[in-house]
Amino acid sequence: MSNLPIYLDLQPKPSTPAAARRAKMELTQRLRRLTQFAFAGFILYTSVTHNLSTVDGTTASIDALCPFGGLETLWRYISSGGQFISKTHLSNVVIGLGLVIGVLLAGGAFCGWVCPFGAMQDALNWLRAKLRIREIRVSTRADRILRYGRFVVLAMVLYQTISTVKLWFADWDPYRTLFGLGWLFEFNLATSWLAYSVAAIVIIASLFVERAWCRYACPLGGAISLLGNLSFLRIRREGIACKGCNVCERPCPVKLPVATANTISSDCIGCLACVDACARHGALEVILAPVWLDSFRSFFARKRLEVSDAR
Amino acid sequence: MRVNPFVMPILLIVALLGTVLAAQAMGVWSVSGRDAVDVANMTPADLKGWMTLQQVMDGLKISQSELYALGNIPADTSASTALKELEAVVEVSALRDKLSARLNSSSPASNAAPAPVQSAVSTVPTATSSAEKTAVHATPTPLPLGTVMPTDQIKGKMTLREVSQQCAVPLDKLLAALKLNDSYADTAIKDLVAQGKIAEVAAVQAAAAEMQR
Repeated sequence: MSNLPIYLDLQPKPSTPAAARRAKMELTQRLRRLTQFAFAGFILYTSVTHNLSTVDGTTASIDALCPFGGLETLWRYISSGGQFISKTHLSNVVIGLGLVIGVLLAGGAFCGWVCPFGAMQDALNWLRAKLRIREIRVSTRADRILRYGRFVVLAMVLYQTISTVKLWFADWDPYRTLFGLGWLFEFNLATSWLAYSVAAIVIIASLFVERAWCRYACPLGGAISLLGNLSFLRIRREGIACKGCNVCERPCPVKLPVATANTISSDCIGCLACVDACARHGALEVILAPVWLDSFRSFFARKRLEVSDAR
Repeated sequence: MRVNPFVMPILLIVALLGTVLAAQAMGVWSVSGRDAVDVANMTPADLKGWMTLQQVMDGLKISQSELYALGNIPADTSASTALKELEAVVEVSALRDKLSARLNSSSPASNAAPAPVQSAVSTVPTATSSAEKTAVHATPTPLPLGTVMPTDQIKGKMTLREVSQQCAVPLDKLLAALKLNDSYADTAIKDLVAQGKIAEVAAVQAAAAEMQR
């Protein structure tokens, strides 16, 4: 029996296989919360110091640390030979590059482990559960259609940013509104009513629909989803080992059809709840198998078949 | 090939933070546009949000009317206004492009004032002792030779250092006349009024006018 306090005792207690899985899931999710808390805390600390700074330019603003800012300013940076859209800096491009590398390696884990706005939505979901507010379940068909909203927002933001040469999204970006702490230090309803309204709508929506912003409107999530199709690491379901119990679908924060997919969609946020929840060893695993490599393998396998058939 | 699930978040975080650390180690990292600008060799690409209109005019050697026309800036806007305060009127990036096009397409415009004699301007601002967020400007450009601003054009957004340079009055004497010490040289006049250090902007105008006689 461990003598450590329960919150430090990270060893799962395998009294039953189900209990062992539950303990493993709790460990993973606990580590995920800690990581999210660390990044969110860092961003909030940065915002506070920036707002309190009496000397311009000595502290980083929230805009300077946003990977999406790197994507927004990228066209300007390339086409103008090194200039940035206002409020963005070299740090945005560097962090954006780091995110691209991370997504190519590990898919959408940024959304599940790093993004402060995702952390806030997870917190809202926790609050909803504590308050026993009934979750609104979006139908499968509606969910499939609404997910395209991220790409619509992404296209709109990039188009407006390139054509106006300004950080167009900054006026209503809910992440910037909430984590930039402008509402705390420089509250101004007259000039920022749009930003406050969008943030309020997103908070309310996320309270009733788990990760609503991530699933239906986040432009960065849309970009990660597109790039995640090239990721080296994927979560794959082995149909032979799977017994079809659907346990893996229940804990998914973004409500992906895990139980019926062969390779989990690039919309996955990498929270690993499904992998931990799976009751069958080998049925749901993280594997090193980029989709593009599968395409090559399929192509050459078909060619070999054609050659052997021809003989 | 199966991997430990924790490899996913670890790889992501290592990639993210590793890129940042590598960039910092290589010196390819900046979270602010507040870099030193050589005003003597300034180009539109050097334009920063913290720069005032006066600094832009002096650095790029264009007249106020020309700059205001390019940026659609209202004529009553003070030359000591920082570009970032005019974002609702003109974006810094857009102004850069317009100035680039303007300066590349024609010969240098005739200025209302001669070009200033200026070496590299240090842009590290002086920290103020106030706990409030004050409007701190970069070290202002020295006054163009032969041009002295009338004291009635002193605005609340200007700092005492800018007043000293643009009205051609000694800074130490101006501070002494207002009974302030050196630490307030880079504080905006309106913030000094808000802090109760001086009664009103007119007090600065009067002190500067007295010294100009």
